Amino acid sequence: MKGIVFREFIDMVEASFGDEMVDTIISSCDLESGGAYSAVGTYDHTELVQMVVALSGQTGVEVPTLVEAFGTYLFGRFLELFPVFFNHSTSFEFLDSIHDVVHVEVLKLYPDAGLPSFNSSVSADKKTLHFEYHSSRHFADLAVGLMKGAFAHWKEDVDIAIEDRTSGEVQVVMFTCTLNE
Amino acid sequence: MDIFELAKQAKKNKGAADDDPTAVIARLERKLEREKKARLTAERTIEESSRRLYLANQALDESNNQLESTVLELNDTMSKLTSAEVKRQATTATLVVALVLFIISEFAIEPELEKSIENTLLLQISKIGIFSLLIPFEIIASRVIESGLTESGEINRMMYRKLLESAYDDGIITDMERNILNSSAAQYGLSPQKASDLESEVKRALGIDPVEQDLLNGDEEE
Repeated sequence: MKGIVFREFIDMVEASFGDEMVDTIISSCDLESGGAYSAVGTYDHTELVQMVVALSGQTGVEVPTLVEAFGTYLFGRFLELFPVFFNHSTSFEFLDSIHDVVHVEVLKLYPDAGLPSFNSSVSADKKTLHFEYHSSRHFADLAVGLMKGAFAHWKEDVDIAIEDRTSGEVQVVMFTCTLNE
Repeated sequence: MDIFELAKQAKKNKGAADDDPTAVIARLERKLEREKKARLTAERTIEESSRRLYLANQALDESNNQLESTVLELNDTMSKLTSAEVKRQATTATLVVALVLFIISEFAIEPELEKSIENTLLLQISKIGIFSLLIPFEIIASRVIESGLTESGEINRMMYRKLLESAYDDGIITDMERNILNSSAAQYGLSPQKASDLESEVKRALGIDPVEQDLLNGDEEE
């Protein structure tokens, strides 16, 4: 997983829980990188899982809640760092472009990036988005957080129905997003 | 829920942080150590990337040079073929002229001579005389034909135009394209003035703004 995700996680924990918490969770985990992350590096995604579990243990907040909150935080950071990808007029348009546009650009820069894959389709009346997440890293909660970040950014009221379709190693989750007006 | 609200709630449940100066310093030292390690990783990654870029650039340069020499070779072959074609046409024309002259001498002049000259020796000498008088005609005719094909330079100009058009296909002239154009102009016997006139013509025809082109060239020189 790209170093930027780890950096943003550490920065988020430091900003919200304080640098003591960062020190505590890194010390309590057995991390190959020693918790030293550079945005241009690539690290094992299980290190992120370990840190989230440790943060949950320290704070008493459930892991899925933390991962989702991190997703929403990450959306805000991506918006700041890469505004060029967010010139859509609705969140559905943006989400529908991730697999074919955003990830293509990411792969140009990082050919080794292991990205989740998305099958998405927007209904004709543009009120429903079907968004299927496939990933061996099981970060569907992160995807939910990112989606919620997108809905908040475009100031939309959207309900998300989640259906787990995982049958093998790869996590498959179908999100059905409905726009309320 | 927002991560900051989650943190606020968690802090309420947990109480105050450890503010003991020794603990704070130890924590900051560990943080410093991590930051340093991350910086070293970043530097190593960047060094590897720039090394890869350098090698890729070198490979590109090399294949560019190879392409350039291939194009020059092709160009050379093309002009050789063209001049061979011109020579072939000239030879055909010369043969036609020779044939015409032969027919004139054989069927028009010689019967007259045979009628008027009785002496065989004299007749033979006259025939040879007429034949040798025709040789300069033939030479002059073939020269005129050949120079008509090459001196006008129409073919050469056409070939240079084609080259210009393909070079301006993308709107700009790269260093390699410039080299090829220059060496081709010399090969086609075009003066620099003629070459640049042709270039302006092509640019006008393709609708390339000369000012913009100058700006682009200016940028390249910087």
